[in-house]
Amino acid sequence: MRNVAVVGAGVFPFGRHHDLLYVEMGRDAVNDAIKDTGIDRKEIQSCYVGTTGGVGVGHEIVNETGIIGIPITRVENACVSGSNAFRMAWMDVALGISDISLVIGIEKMKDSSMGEAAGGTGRFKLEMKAMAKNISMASFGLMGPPGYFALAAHRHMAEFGTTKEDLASVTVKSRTNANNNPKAEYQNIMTVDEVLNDKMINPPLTRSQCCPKTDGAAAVIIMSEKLAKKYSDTPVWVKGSAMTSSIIMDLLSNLSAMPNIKSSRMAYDMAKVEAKDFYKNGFVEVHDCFSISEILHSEDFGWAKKGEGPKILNEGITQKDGDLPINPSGGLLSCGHPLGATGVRQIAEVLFQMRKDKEVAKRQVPDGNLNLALTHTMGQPMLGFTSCVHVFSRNL
Amino acid sequence: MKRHPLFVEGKLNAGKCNDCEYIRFPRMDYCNKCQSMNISDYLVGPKGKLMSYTISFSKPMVGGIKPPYPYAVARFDTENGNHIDVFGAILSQEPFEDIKINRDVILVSDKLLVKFKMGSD
Repeated sequence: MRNVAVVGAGVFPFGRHHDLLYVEMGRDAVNDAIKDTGIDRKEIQSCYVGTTGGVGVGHEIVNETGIIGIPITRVENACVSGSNAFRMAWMDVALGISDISLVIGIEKMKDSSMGEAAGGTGRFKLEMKAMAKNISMASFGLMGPPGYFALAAHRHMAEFGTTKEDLASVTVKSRTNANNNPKAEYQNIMTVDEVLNDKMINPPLTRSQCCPKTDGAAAVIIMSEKLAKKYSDTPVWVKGSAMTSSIIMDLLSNLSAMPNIKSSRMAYDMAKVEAKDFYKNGFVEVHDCFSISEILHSEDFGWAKKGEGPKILNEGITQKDGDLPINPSGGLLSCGHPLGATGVRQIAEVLFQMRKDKEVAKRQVPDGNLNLALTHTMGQPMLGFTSCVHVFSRNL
Repeated sequence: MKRHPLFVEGKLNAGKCNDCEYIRFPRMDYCNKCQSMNISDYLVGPKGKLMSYTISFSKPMVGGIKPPYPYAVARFDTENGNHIDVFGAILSQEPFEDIKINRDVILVSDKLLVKFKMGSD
């Protein structure tokens, strides 16, 4: 397999863009990524589009950005769609089929199928109803993802003495980082009290502890080693890629999600790193769909002992200037979670951070933490999980 | 793949793998651990322990339960020190003060949903 690098990226501001079409968001992200990369659009040889609801939008976007005749593949994998699209593009370039590949992540939550699943109405809701009648899905149809993670939160509190203030502190950190991210949907600073007094969604999770239903788009351009060295002095190398799934809801059995543990270790092995190597050396963008999620991930990925996720949070280790910054962008909780766009936005953040771009100057992680990075998304909590992890480095 | 009922004789209709002894609910025709298709019926419950709960303030997609209602995961012992964790609604009255983690729950039979009530009888 060939070495592959991320060389350019563009992010369309995340927010409520109900008046915009998919193509209007995606077009801007792609044009920004092309400009950032410094290539001619004619050099792009393949395109992978991560989206759950955007049927045909890849073709629309590519058409409107003047890229002609390349293979365009839509990748749907719920919340993992963007990361999965990136992984397909990485395989494409690593295998030598394409030299330059474009990855688009895009979602309009208001009009998309999974968006409906997260509280909307329409056809998908009917499918959910039918699915819930299948006993293999027994009782899962009762609640959406917030309820499921609320169960994990209450269990974590009962088992490890985690407090609701600990949970709220995840949002406080997220908003503090997003305060310096003009492309996040929510950039307002919040206090622990404000988070706890927000509207209750499913106890103990209040609204600001749940990622919002956001519209957004992001694009990254990856290329082979030879071209990456030609076009960039600061390429970000893909060192590890892994994706796994489970068919049972294992998160509550031991407050660990098997696919997260498995995919992270597979990606670590491929990148020849260990969990501890991220301390004072790297930063991560993980799938903080809910406040408790970030705590669980910090334990499952091996950065904290089981039950001590809140400890590393409260000690400031996961702050953007801590030993292991988690979600310096503001994560899903503040950027929002347009399903297909999230995984690609995370990778754009890694590139911007590692290059020390002006765009991230106010949320820049310390110099010493720019050697290693990890991105992670997980999805489909009602059918077991899929988890996708990528490891990046500035050094080949 | 045929559909299996949720409950049999007031107990959870789980499946046991005849090859690796893994027990799974809901019952499916394959083993989630070793992928064997050699599965037998295995009944679990009705007494379990509340692992966690939350409250739903919105109408469920199925089952006709009036919100707000508590939703839970409960643990049922199987054999050899093993257990299964099962999701379901808790039958309770506001303000749901009887619901406490680690307390006993008991199954309430239903065609469509797993339901629990607090207590052991």
